Amino acid sequence: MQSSFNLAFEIFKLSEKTKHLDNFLEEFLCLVRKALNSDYCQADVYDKETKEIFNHFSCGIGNRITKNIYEEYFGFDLIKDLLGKKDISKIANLTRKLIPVNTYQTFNDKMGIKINSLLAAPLYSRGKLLGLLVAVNKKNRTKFSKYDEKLFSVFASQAALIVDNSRLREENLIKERFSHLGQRIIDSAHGLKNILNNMDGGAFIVEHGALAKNMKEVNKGWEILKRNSNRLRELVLDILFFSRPKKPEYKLTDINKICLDIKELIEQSAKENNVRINLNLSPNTGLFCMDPKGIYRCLLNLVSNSIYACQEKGGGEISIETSIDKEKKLKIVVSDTGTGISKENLEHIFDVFFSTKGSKGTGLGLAVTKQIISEHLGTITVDSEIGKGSKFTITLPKNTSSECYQKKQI
Amino acid sequence: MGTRKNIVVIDDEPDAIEFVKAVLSSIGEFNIIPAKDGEEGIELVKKHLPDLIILDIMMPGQSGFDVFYILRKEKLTENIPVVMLTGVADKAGLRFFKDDMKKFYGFEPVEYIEKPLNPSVLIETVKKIFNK
Repeated sequence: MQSSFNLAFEIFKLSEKTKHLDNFLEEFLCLVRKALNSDYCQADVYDKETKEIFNHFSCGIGNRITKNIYEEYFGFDLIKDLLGKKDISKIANLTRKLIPVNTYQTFNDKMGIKINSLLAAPLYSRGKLLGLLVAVNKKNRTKFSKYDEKLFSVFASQAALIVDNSRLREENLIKERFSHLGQRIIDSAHGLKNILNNMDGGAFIVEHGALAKNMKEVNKGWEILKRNSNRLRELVLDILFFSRPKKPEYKLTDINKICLDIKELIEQSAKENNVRINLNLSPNTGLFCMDPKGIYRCLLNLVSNSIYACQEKGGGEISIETSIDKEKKLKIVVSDTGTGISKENLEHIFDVFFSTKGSKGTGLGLAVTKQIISEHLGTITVDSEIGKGSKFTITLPKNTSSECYQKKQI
Repeated sequence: MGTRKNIVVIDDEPDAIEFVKAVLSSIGEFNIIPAKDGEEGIELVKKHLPDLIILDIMMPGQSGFDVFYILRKEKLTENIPVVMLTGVADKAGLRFFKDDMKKFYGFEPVEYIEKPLNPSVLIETVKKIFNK
């Protein structure tokens, strides 16, 4: 059995290298189980607002059950049941006799575990109850000792800190988006004022053209109106994206289907601009965990930029490539033979409200793209040469977010 | 019957220049010379020595204030009337530049006109300048 210090160190190393809370908690529970020499460990994370179980993790023998089934039989009451109704801040060290009947029965019937002894500790951080940590049955069939209790409470506070930290990061993401938005409202007012000014101009020209029965003027004004209403739409959609209150929705997604949808969407516009779209989609991508709406928006932004870049040259070719690399990461490459990006601009292209498209750009497309990729804990890089073209590479790491993977019932 | 007046319009938004062109064409025949940035604008002003310069403030690269300063500093162009168009939302920021320009250099454009453009404001201003 490893010394407690070594184990604590291993847990520290673990929290440094795992980025997803789910991955961390599962491995963490296995280390806790080893430290206590117990049969089974579980952690439940609660949503403080709705008092619902946000997530359930476990390590050890016994049947794994899905979160929904767990919720059905346990719910928030497990905390009160195991820790007692008065003071739930203390650790509970329970033997068979003290386990509430329905808890014992549920563990037995649903998870195939006959509880002999049980340790339960609340996950507290910054005065908030975040969940529950449970260890069941010492392997040698003895009770959990005082030493086990102390060790367990250390693990519980570690887990609490890490769960809290990941919550904070999530809240931060949302706040960051709002602060970006707030900071840029003044700048965006300029972009919006230009668009509105142009629309007033277009309307003025249409009106005066109609009065003078001058169709040429009417058409000119109409084109201005159309062009700027498109700009307005794109700007508003991007601003709305930045102010999304919810976090991305992860699903197992077929990236190749997204690429095919995008090709279909822009095919007509590409043809009109003498731009050819090539798809090079790997059959090995399978289903990958991602936020499909977000990734769709990223690819649409990149492909629109590529069409614009080719337009400037009078035509060109765009390639969209998907593949899985050696590290099981998803790679999406969008490249074009357009005008390319200068070295000076390369530094700024992902900045909010930076645009080289003059009156045609909102400055938000690539910033939104980068934001979405960051939320996926992925990376986006760009290779470009003026006059030759550009290549954007998106890399998404494997995401074992529990929204994509339900635990199976044996 | 005078010759057509030349007006240089400097704005990075081509649609905005079309708007100014259309508004001014409703009160007379002007020769509108467009420029998409400060550099091009200054070149065209020196070349044509127009009767009026209409200048957007918020532009990438040189701002309208930079251009205005340069034009006022040169003997060749210092007396050409200038009207500045502003879409700047931060009124306090604009006041800062306005006051500095006046205080330190004594430079003041004929008028500051806000975007979105109100056609009658532009019309009144231009009439005022050319009726002098």
